[in-house]
Amino acid sequence: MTVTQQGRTPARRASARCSTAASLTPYLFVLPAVFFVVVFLLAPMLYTFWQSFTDADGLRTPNFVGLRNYAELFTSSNFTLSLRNTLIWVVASVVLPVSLAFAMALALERVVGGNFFRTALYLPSTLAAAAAGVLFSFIFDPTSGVLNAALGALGFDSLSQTEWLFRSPLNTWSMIATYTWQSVGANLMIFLIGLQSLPREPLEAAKIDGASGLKFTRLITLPLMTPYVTIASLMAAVNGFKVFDLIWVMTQGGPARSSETLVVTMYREGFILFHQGVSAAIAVVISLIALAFSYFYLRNVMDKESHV
Amino acid sequence: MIKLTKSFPLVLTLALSVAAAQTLELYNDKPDWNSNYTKVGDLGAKSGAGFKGVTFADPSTYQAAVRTSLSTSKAPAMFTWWSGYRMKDLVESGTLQDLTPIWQKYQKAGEYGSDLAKAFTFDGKIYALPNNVAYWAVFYNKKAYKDAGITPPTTWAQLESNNAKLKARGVTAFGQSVEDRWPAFIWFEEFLTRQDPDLYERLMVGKAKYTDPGVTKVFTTWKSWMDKGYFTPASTGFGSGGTNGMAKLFAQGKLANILAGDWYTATIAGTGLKPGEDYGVFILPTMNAKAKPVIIYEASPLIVSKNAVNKAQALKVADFWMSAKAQTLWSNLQSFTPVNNEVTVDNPVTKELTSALSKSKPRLINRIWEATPTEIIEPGVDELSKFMLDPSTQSQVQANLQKLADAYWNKQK
Repeated sequence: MTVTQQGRTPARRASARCSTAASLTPYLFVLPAVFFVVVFLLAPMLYTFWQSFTDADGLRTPNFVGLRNYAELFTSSNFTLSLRNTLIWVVASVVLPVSLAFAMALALERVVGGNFFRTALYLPSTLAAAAAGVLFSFIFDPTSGVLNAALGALGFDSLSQTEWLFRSPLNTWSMIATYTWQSVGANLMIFLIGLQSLPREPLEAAKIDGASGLKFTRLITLPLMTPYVTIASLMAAVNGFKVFDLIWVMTQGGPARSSETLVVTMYREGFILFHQGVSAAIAVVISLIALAFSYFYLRNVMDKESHV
Repeated sequence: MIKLTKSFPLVLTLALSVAAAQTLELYNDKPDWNSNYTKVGDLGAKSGAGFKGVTFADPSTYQAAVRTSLSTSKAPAMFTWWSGYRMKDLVESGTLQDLTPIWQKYQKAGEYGSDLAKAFTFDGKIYALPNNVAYWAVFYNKKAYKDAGITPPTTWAQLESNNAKLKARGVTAFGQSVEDRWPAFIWFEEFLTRQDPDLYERLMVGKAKYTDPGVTKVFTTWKSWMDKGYFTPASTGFGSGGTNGMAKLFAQGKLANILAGDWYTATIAGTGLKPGEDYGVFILPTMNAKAKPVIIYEASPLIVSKNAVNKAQALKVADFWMSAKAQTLWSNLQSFTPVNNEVTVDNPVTKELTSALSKSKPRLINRIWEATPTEIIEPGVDELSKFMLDPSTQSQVQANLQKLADAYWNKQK
C-alpha cells in the first residue's frame, strides 16, 4: 500500500500541480482587471452608498444620519425640478440625436457627395463638450450672438432679444439643441455602418415585390436596423443622464437652478455646498434610475428580438 | 560606470524632488493673479522665503481639493480662501495654523492696524494673513460722464439724477449680472447698506428677516431702477469675457458705471482703458444724506495649514508676506489698496480710492458672501438671480430667502 502510494505520488503530484496551475491561469489573467474594477469601481460605489447615510462634509468625521439625506432630497423642490430636467434631457437626447441621425443616414445613402456630408456632420462629435458649450454660448448670446442677429435680419424682431440661456425651460432646450448638434454625428456613423452591413437578399426581394419610399424604410429597413437603433438609443439615454460638462459651461445649472439636472445638482451639493452626504444620495438615485432604465429597456428590446 | 549610469536617473529624480519639495507652493483659485504670486515668491527667495503660485481654474474644484486635503499630510502649506463664515468651518476643523504671533510683530511695528485682523479672528486667535482687502466702489467712465455733463455723485439724489441723464443719452447707468451666480448679491447688499446699514448687519446674523419692510424697500428700489432702464439686462457678463462683458460695454461707453471690488481695475485695464485718464472711482453715496458714508469690504485670507509637511517654511513665507517689501510689490502688481501702512501704490485709481477712504472714513461693512452663513447665501444668490430675471417674483424670493435663513438659524438654537 505504502509502496504503491509512494510509487504514484510524484506523478500524481506533478499532475495535480499541472491541473492546479491550469485552473489558476485564467484567474491570473483576469486578476488585473478584477483589481481595477474592485478598486476603482466597486469600492467607490460602496463608499458612496455608505456616505449617502452620513453628514459627510469633507472636513469632519462623518456621522450616521440614516435616511435623512434621502428624505431631504425627496421633499426639495430643487430636486424635483432637477429630476424633471433630467427626464427632459434623457427623452430629448434619445429622440433628437438618434432619429435625426437615422434620417440623415438614410438620406446620405442616396445623395451625391455623401462623403462630404458624412465628414461635415461627424466633425462636431470630435469636439469636447466643453468647447461646444463655449461656442454655443457665443451663438446664444442675447446681445450680440449670431442667432439673435440672424433672427433680427430675417425680420423676427420680437425674437431677436431672446435670452436663450437665461429663461427656463428655454435654456434647457437651447442646451439640448447644442447637444444634438454635437452628438448626431456619432449616431450617424452607427447607422451608416448598420445600413452598409444589412443583408442584401431581403432588401432586393422587397424591392422586387414593389416596396419603396417610406413603406420600404418602415417595413424593411427599420426592422433590420433594430439592433443598431437599440444600441444607439441606449447609449443616447445613458449619455443623456450623464451630461454635465455642457451644462456646467453654458449655465452652471442656472439661472436660479432652473437648468440643473441630477448630475449638476449632485456636483453642486458635493463641491459647492459640501453636503457630500446629500451628494452621495443623489449619486445613488441616479445610479438606480439608470440601472432600472437600462434593465427594462434591454429586457423589452431583447424580448421583442427573440420573438422576431 | 555601469552602476553610475543605472543609478544616475534615480539620483537625478531624487535631487529634483528634493528641489521641488523646497519650493513652497501657494495654492489659489485666481489664475489671473498666479504669476504675480510667483513674482512676490521670487523676491522672497532672496531672503529664504521663496514660493510659487499653483492655481486652479475652477473655484469649486479648488475648494474640494483644499478641503479634502487639510486634515492630511498632503495639505497645501499656504492657500487662499474666503473669510467670515466660509473660513469658520475650516477653523472649527482644527486644521489651520494660528498666525497671531506674526500679526503681533507687525502690529507692534505700526505696519498694520488692529481692525484688519478682525476678519480673520476666531476666539481671539488670528488664522490668516491679508491676501487682499478689497473695497467695493463705483468705477465710472469719464467720457460718458463728460458727454452727459455730470460729475461723480455725492448724494443719492444726485446719483438718481445722473442715472436719468445717462439714460437720456442712451447710456446704461449701471451693470448688473447673474453670470456665475454670485454677482447677483452685489446690488442687494449695496442698496441695503446705503438705505440702512444696521438692518443689513442684523440680517446677516439672523436678527432681522428678509421679509421685513426695510428689505422689501430694497427690492422696490432695485425694481424701480430696472424699470427705469438704469441697469443692464441681468444676462450681461460680469467680467470682460463673452460678447457682452460688462467691462467691454464700459470700455465702449455704452455703460457708465460698474460697481465692483477694487480688484476689478485689472479687468478694466484688460480692455485698454487707462486708470485716472479714462476712468475714475467714487464711493456709492448713502440714501440718507446725513448718514455716515458706508462701503462694503471683502477681506480675502491667506492661510497656513497646520498639517502641512513644510509648515516651518510656510511660516517663514508668512512673515515675509506681511513685510512692507512684499506688500509693496504685491499691491503694485495687483493695483490693490495697500493693507500695510508703509506701502504706497502707483495706480491713480487705487490712489483715488485710498484718498476717498481716508477722507470720508466710511463705515466698513463686510460683504454678504462672507458676512452671512454659506448655507443661506449660496442658495440665496439663486433666489436673487430669480428676482433679477423676473422682478414680479419679489415676494416669493423674499419668502424663500427667509425660509433659507430660518432653516439655518433654527439649527443653531
